[in-house]
Amino acid sequence: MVSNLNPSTVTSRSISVFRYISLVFALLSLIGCGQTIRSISAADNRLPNEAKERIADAEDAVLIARSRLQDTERAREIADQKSLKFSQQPPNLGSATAIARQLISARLHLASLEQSYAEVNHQLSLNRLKLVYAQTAMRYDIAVYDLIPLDQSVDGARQALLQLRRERKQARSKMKTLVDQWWKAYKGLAQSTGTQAFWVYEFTK
Amino acid sequence: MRPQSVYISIPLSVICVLSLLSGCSSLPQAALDPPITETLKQRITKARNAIIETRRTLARATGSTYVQELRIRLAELLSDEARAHYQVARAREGISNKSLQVPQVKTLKQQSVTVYQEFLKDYPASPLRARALYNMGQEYRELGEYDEMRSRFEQIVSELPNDPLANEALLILGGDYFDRNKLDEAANRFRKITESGIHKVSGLAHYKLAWTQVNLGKCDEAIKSFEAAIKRSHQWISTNKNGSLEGSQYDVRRESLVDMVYCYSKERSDKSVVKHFKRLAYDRGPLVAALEKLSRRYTILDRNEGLRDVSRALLDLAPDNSKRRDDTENLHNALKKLKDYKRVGEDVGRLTATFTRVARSARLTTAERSSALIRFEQLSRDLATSAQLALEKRLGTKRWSDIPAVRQLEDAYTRYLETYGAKASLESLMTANVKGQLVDKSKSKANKQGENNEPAESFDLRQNLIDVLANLSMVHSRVGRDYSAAQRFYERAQLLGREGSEDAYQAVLHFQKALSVEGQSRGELVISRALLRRASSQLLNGALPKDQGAKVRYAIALTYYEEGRLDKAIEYLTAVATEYPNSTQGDSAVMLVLDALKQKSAYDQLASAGSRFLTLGISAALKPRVTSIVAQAQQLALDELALEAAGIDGGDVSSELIDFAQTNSGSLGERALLNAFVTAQGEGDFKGMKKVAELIESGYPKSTQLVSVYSSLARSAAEQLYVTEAISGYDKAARLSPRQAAQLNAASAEVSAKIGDIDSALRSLASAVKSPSSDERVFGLYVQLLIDHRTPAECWSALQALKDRGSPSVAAGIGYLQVLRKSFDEAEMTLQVVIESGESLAQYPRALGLYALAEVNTHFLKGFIPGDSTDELAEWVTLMELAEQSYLRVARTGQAKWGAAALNRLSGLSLFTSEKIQTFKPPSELSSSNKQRFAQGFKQRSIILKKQQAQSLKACQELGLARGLFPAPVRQCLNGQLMSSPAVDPSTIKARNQKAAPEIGAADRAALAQNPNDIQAAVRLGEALLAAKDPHLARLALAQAIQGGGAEVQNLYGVACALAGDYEGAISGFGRAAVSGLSEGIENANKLLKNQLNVSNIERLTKGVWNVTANGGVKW
Repeated sequence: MVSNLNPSTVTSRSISVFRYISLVFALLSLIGCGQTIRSISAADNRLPNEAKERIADAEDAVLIARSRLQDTERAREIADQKSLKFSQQPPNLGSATAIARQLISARLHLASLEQSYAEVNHQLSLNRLKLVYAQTAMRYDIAVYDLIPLDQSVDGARQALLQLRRERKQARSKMKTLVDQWWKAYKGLAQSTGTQAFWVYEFTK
Repeated sequence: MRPQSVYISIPLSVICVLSLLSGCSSLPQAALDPPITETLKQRITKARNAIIETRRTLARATGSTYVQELRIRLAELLSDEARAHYQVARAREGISNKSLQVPQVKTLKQQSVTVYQEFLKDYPASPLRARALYNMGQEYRELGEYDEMRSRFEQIVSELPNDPLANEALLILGGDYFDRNKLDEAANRFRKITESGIHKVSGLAHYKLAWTQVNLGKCDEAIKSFEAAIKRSHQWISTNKNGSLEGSQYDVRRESLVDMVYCYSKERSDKSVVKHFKRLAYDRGPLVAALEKLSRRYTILDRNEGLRDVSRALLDLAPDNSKRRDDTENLHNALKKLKDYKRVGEDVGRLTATFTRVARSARLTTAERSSALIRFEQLSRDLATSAQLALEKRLGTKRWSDIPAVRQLEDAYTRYLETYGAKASLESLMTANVKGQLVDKSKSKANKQGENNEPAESFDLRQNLIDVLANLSMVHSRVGRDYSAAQRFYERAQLLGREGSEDAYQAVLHFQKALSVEGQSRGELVISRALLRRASSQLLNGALPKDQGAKVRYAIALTYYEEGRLDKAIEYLTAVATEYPNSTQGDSAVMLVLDALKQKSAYDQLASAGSRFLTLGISAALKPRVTSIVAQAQQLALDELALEAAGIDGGDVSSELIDFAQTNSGSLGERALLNAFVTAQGEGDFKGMKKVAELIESGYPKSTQLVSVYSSLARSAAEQLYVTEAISGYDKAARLSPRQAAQLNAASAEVSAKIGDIDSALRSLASAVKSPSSDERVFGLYVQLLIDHRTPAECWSALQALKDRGSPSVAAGIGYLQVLRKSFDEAEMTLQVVIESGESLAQYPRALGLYALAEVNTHFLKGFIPGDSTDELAEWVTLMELAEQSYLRVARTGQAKWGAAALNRLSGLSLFTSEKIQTFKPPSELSSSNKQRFAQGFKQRSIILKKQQAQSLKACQELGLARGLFPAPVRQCLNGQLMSSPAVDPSTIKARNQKAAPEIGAADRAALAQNPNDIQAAVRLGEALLAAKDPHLARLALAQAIQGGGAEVQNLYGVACALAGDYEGAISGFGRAAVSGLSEGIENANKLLKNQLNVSNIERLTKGVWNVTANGGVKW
C-alpha cells in the first residue's frame, strides 16, 4: 500500500532534508575553515607525474560533480513545474487521478533528493580536492597544513552522501511501486473512459 | 506747465515713426524675368548687328581668303534674323496651327537666297559650294519654293556627291518625295544614302527608307531597313562618342524599334519575338515601348503565343504603371487560350510580383487596392488550378512523377500562398470580404451595346486559401514530397480550426513519412517533429477513431524518441504500449521504451519496464524477446551495482546487493550475494563477509562458489587475526572441496601453528598430506613443523608413510632422520631428490636437506682412512673440502636454524680435520724433499683449518650478536660449545589458554585487512591484545610490524613471544632491539639468554657490541 504523499508535505520534507544536509556541510566546512588551502596546478614542475595525475583527477571530479548537479537542478525544475501544473489544473483521469497525483509528488521528492545528493557529492569533491592539494603540498614540501580537519570534512561529506544514498534508494523503490500502479490504472482508464484527458493534459500549456 | 523737453520730444518721435512707416509702405521691387518676346527681340537685334558688322567686314575683306566664309556667314545671319522674327511673331500670337504672316521673314530669307546666289556665281569652285547650295535649299524650303529647293538639293547630289551635305540633301529630297507620295523616288533617294558609307544620317536614311517600304507594302524589306537603321545609328554613335548624335533627331534607334512592330507582326512568326527585339534594343526604354506596341498588335491579331511571350517580357522588364495590369490580363488570356501551363509557376510568380508592386503603390485608394487584390488573386488562382486540371488529365490523380510541369505547379501554388496568404499585409483585406466587381472583357466585347459590368461573385480570400492549400497539399502528396505536403495540410488544419481534423491527421501521417526517410536537413527534422506534435495536439482535442488514435499517439511519442528526449519518449511510448497492446504501434512502442532505457543505462528501470509490459500484456511474438531483455537487464543492473561498489564512494553497496539478491532468485541472486561478499571483502568488513557467506550457504548450498567464499573468509579472518573463524573457515572449505582439501587444511595448519597450537596444526597437515592433491608446499610445511616441534622418532614414523610420494621436502626430512639414525648410505640416496630439485625447493626443506647431506659427507670423510698413497691423501682432502662446502651451502640458504647448525658443525669438522691432518705421514713414494714439503703443507693446512674452526664459530655467534637470531645452534656457539651430533633440539611454545574477545582492536583489524603494511594499526592491535592477555595473538599482530616498526616494536614483539613461551621468537625480537641499541632490548635479551636459554656469558659476549643508543622499551 503506498502512502498518500501530499505535494506540500513531500516538498517540505525534501527541503528539511536539504537544510539538514546543508547545516552538516556548513559545520564541516567550518572545521577546516581555519586554514586556507592554496591550490596547486596540475602542471606544476615541482611535482612528479603521479602527483600531477592525482591533482588532475581530483579537479576533474569537481567538474563532473558540478555538471551532474546542474543536470539535477534542471530535472528538479521540470518536476516542480509539472507538480505546480498538476496542482493548479489537475486532469480528469477518473479513478487514476489519485495515483497520478501520488506519482507526481514522488517524482518531485525523488528529484529533490537527487539534487541534494548531487550537491553533497559536489561538496565532497571540493573537500577532496582541498585535501589533495594539502597532501601534495605536504608531501613535496611546498606548504604545511593540518590534514586532520580536512580528512574529517571529507569523511563527514562522505557519510552525508551515504545517508542520502540510502534515502534515495528508498525513494526509488517507492517510485517503482507507484509507477507500476500508475500504469495499471492507466490501462484501466484506456479500457473504460479512454485516455484523451491524459493526452490533452500533456499537450496543453 | 509741462516742461519744455516734452514739447520737443513728442513731435520728434512722431516724425521718426512716420519716416519709418513710409519706408515700410513701399516694398522693394522684385527682379522679374524679362518677357520671352523681349529676349527674342534681343536676338533680332544681335543678328542685325552681326549682319551689319559682317557686311562691313566683307567690304574690307575683298580678295582675302576668308571672304567666302564671310559671305556664307552673312547669308546664315540673315536666315537667323528671319528665324528670330518668326519666333517673335509666334510668341506674340501663341502656338497655334494657323500659319503666321511675317513679312520680315520673307524679306530676309530672300536676301539670304540672293547672297547665296551671288556666292555661287562668284565662286563656282568654292569648297563652300555645297554648303551654300544646301543652305539655299533650306531657305527655299522655308520660303515654300519647293521646286527651287529640290533643284538646289539635286544640284548638290549631282555636282558634289561625296560631300557630307549631299547625304543630308538626299535625306531632304527623299522626305520631300515621300511627302508627295512619290515613294519610289523617295526610296531611291534614301537608298543612295544607305548604300554609301556610314554617315551621321545613315540611320535616319534607313529609317525613312523603311517607312517608304512600309507604305509601298514591302514589310519584309521594311523590317530589314528598320533593323539597319538601328544598327547604323548604333554604329555611328559608338564610333563617335564625343558626338551629339545620341538622343538627337538622327538617333532613330528607338523609333525604328517601335515602328518595326507593325511589319514584324505581319511578316514574322511569334517565335523568339522577344529575343529578337532584345537583341536589337540598345536600352530598356525602347525595348519596353516596342514590346508594348507588340502587345497591342498581338492582342488585336489574337496571336496568343506572341502575346504570351511579350506579356511575360513586359511584366519582367517594364516599369510599374497601369499598363501592367493589362499585361497580366493579356498573359492570363493567352495562357488560357493556349492551355500552356508549362511555366505556370513562373507565370503566377509574375502575376503575384506585379500585384505586390501594385498593392504597395501609394497612389491607389483602398478601394482600388481591394479591386486589384480581387482580380490578381482570381487570375493567379485560375492559372494554377487550370494547370492542375491539365496535369490531372494527363497524369491521372494517383501518383505523379517529379517532372518539371509538376514542380511548376507547386511553385505556382506556393507563390500564390506567399502573396495572398501573407497575413500582415492583407489582414484588412482578408477580413473585409469585399464584393468586387469583375469586368469580363470578353463579354463586354461581345456586347454590342458597349461595356457590360456584371456583378462578381462575393470574394472570400480565406476560403480561397483553404482551397489552394488543399490543392497544393494534394499535389505534394502525389509527387511524394511528404514534408511539404505535411506542412500544407497543417496550415490548412490551422485555418479550418475544429473542422480541420482530417487535415491535421494527414499532416501527422505525412510528417511521419517524411521523418522516416533519410536526407532531411536538420532544420527540416526539427520543424517536422515540432509541427507533427502540434498537429497531433490539435487532433487530440477532438474524438479520434481508434485506428487513428494509435497512429497519432505513437507518432507523437516517436518524435521525442528521435530527438533524444528519452524521458518524455519513455512516458508516451509506455502510454501507447499500455493502451494498444497486440498492435503494431504497441509492439514498436514496447521495444522503443526498452531501447530508450538501455540508452540511459537505467538497467533496473529497464528490467521493471520489461516485467511490467509482460504483466500488462504484449503480443505473443514479442514475449520471448522481452523476457530475454529483462533477464539481461537484471544482469547488467547487478553489474552496475558491483562496479559502483568498487568506486571511491562505493558506500553501503553491500546492503544494496543483498537487497537485490533478496528480490531476485536463481543465478542472479547468487551473483548478487557473491558481489556483496567481494564488496565487503574489499572494504575489510569481516562481519559483512560473514553475514553474506551465511546467506550464500543458506540460500545457495549447492553453489560452486562456496569453497572460494569460505577460503576467502578464512583468509580475511587470518589477516585480521580472527584465528578461530579462520580455522573454521578453512575447515568448512576443505570439507566442501575434497580436491582442494589438502591446501585448505595446510592453510588452517599454518594459522594454528602461528598461535602455537602445534598439535592442531600437525593434525590438519597429517590429514592434508594424505590427499593425492597435496603439493610441495603442504609437504614442506608438514616436514618443518614435525622437525621443529617433534622428536626424531615421532618425525620418523610420520614421514615414513610419505616416503613414496616423491616429495623433495619429505626426502629432506627423511634424509635428516636417516642421518640421525646413522643410516648414511640410505640418507645419501634419499637426499639426491633434494639436490635435483635445486632452488625450486622452499628454504626450510632445502636447508634441512643440504644439512643432512653435509652430515653424510662428513661421515664419509671421517670414515675414510687414506693409505700410504698420494692419491688417497688427495682424495681425503677432496672429501674434506666437499664436506666443508656442503656446510657452507647450508649457511648460504639463509635459513637461520640450519645455517647456524651448519656453521657450528663446520667448526667441529674444522677442528677434527685440523687435528687429523697433522697425523698424516708423507707417502713413502715421495722423495725426501717432497716429503718435507708434504709435511710442511699439511702443517700449514692444519693451521688454516684451526682458523676456520674459530671463524665458523664466530660466524655462528654473529648470527645472534649482529643479526639478533638465536636458534639453538647459535646459543651453543655463544657458549663456545660444538654440537656433538647433527640433531637440533625442537622448539617450544606454550599452549594458548587465553583468547582475546573478537571485538578487541576491531578497527585496527579492519585497517590491517585494508592495508597489511599499516604498522601503526599492527602495533595498536598488538598492544591491545597484550593488554587482553593474549600474547599468542599479540605476537602475530606485532610480527606484521617488526619489519618497519623500529627497535621498540621488535622489543615488544619479543615480549609477546616470551609471554607466549616462544623463546626463540622472543630472543629474535629482543636481539634485534638490542642490536639497534634499545636499552630494554639489550636488558631483555641478556636476561632471556642467560636465564632461559643457558647462555651464561652473554653479557661478556655482547659488551662493546650491544651499546645503548636509545632508552626505552617494555621490560620483560
